[in-house]
Amino acid sequence: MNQILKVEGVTKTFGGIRALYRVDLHVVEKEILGLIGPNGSGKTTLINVITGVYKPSEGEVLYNEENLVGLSPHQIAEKGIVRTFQLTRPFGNLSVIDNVIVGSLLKSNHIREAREKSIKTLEMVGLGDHLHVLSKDLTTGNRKRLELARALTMEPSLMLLDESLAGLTSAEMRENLALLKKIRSERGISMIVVEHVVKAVMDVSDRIVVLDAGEKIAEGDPQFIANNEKVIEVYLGKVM
Amino acid sequence: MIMSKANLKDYLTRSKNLFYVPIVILFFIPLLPIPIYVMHVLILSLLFAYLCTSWAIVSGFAGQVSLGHTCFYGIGAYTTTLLFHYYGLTPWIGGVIGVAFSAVFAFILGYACFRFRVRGPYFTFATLASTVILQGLFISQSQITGGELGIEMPYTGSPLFFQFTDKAHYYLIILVLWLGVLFLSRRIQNSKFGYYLFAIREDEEAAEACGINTTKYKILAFVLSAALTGFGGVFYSQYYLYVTPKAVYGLDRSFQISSTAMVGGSDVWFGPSLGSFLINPVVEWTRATYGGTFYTLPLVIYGLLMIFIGRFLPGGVSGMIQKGLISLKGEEGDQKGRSQ
Amino acid sequence: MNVNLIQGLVNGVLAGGVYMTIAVGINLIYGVMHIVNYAHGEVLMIGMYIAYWLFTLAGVNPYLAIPIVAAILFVFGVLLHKSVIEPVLDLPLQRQILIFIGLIHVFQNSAMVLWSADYRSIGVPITTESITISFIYIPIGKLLVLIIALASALALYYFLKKTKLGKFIVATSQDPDAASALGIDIRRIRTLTFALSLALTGIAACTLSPIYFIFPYTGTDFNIFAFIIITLGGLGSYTGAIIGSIIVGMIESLVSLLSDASIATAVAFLVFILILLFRPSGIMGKRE
Repeated sequence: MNQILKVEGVTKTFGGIRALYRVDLHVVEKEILGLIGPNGSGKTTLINVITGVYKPSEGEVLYNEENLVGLSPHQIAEKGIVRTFQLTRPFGNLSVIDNVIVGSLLKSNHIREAREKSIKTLEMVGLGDHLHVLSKDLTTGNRKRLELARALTMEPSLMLLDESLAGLTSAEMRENLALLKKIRSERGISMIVVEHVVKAVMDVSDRIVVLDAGEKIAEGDPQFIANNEKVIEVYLGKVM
Repeated sequence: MIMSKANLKDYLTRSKNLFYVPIVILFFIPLLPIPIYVMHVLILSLLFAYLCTSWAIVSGFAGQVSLGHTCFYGIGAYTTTLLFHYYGLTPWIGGVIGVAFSAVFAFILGYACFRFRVRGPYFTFATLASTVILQGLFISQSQITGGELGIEMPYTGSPLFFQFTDKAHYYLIILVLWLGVLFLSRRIQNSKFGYYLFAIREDEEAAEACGINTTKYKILAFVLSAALTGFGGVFYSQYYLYVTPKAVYGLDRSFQISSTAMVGGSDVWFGPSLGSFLINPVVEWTRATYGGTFYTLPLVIYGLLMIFIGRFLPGGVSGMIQKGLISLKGEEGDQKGRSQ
Repeated sequence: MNVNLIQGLVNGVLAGGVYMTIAVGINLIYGVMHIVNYAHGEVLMIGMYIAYWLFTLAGVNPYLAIPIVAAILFVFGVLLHKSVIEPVLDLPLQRQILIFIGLIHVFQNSAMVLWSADYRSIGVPITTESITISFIYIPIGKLLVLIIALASALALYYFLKKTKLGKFIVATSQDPDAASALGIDIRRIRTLTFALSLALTGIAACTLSPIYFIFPYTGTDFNIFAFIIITLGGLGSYTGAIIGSIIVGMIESLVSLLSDASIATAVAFLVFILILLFRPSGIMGKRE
């Protein structure tokens, strides 16, 4: 299958701190790739590098064979890679529907069209009756859904979801996971799902990459990862 | 018969159309027997509303607060005046050149600040410092600009040179300008451009992640706002026929535009105008009635009002009104782009 | 010509001293709270009036009044911070600016109402005299301004680098979250910083009161220069404030020195635009 994203030998240092070191990974079409690792292992940094927020000190990020390094975040979004934020960043003073309209304006030039698309997407993520609520008044769970909706309307082919389950109740988590699977099957969008809740990631991913202290320590299907010694060691004490 | 009586009533009671009636009425005001002083205050209030609305496009919608917008006001005013004074160039053309200069200056300033990702306060400072430097520059180049005492526009009274003997003509022009910028502002608020500006204001990084070229849009908003303000300066010079550095570049003027717009509510298209019509006449009236030391007491109160609004009423007076209307109607209206 | 040039340079440095303290004060507040006190010139104005009344009513020499004025403004700073500044620190820039413009209005016009628009002055004989070093003429009043401004800047530097409280302030300005995690009471630090900044301005006010006319709108003139200095020197940088003050002072004196003042200002304008274009965060400023 087609590899749409290839991260090759990416290293990122901040001053004296090595946040990422020679990380290789790839994402295949319609794949859900889980990205896990303890706190500070570089997961968000990697997302920031892929989306152009940071420039890697070394390495390349190839998207459909095109090198993304050096492009600005908005250019990368235009190309079809979209991300959500670990600490949600809604446009606080805008309503839920307006937030999503901002996203959908990437692909639709007319407000009416954008609005219709946004309403449909919001209904799909379960925020259909919160359209006019101020986004800063939303619960965490709903904020995550809002970001998801906003990302979806940008019609991406690859979504990078940074801890989209953090702060949710277990019921909400189940719903969101089901949603992700639905999105993949209905829209054929590939995803990198960064998560802390390892069990959830096992459930939804086709393949998993494990980072620790900026380096990739394991890669494989959920079964393999669950039994991998290195991974277990790194997560010592964590509930699998 | 264009419309039957029943149709007319129906037409008028639909609120959107009702809106147009007062506008038409405004055009007929010069026909009323009003004293020249009142006409003068009307013209000033309209000019001010025009300036505040223009300012709000970049500072209210996009959140890039400019405290030196008088730069462009002054550039517009001085360009027209100097070109006419020295080359006899009609201010109709001189004004266009003035607007162009304002736009170019805004582009340079905006590009420098936004391209290098300097944060909000730096931009504000740059605009502040610009207007101050320009003031100093125009004062010092006194052979050309007349220095502190300013420069007079040669009087011709001729419409060919953007001068009118009857105040009513000025009134109509500024009325059209104001209505124009008002509708433009409203149009922007409901367009992709507007949505993007609001997004930038709320969270620039998130906006970038949504595919918005924040640098481009910020510069665009700034240049547009500057050009409009520049033309306000052109009107000013044609109305007063006398330009001084302090009047057009002064910090007081700049703060006045910004604060009035914010008091009215700079995040909505009609907010700045509301602020202008509420505040200006009151200030003028107190100045005329009291004079002496006491006219400054209302200004102390005005200052306290600003602090109160800044702290508790982010949408300004217009926000308060909108919220009031919503609670009255009981519906959950969509306050597009409002700051809360 | 040479003589004049040197005199011009000296004048420039002296002029720089006048604006230095305000620029440093604004930067101090910005460093810790990321908020610009646009009303700082008005604080100076208030300080000058206090010095004036102490002199006129109680015969206190403005230089001796320094500790008194500094103390008064310190307390004033605490009150102002708690009531107006602290609640708005997390608000968007727009609203903060509106509040500062409001403060400017309140201060300026209260002064007008209370003390009228009359220009007042304090006559302290020594300030009108001057020292002459060979051909250079140095007015004592301005010299004292510079010396005391530098002394306060130095004292501030020592305070920030060497004392525990000062280090807390520096820590808070660099990383409030980390500082808080280390047990530093951020709220108190912020209040302290704000009050300290006003107290410093009070010191400057005393030294300026014998030299400048005192009237309600004098703050604006000082504000203007402070803003330019900070743009040039960089927001948040003390060294930038000092360097910037000297530069602006130089420009100001060179303007009055050269017969063709218009060229000097035009050059200053050009320099300013160039700096804006290539280092919009100022000479010493930090780029984000």
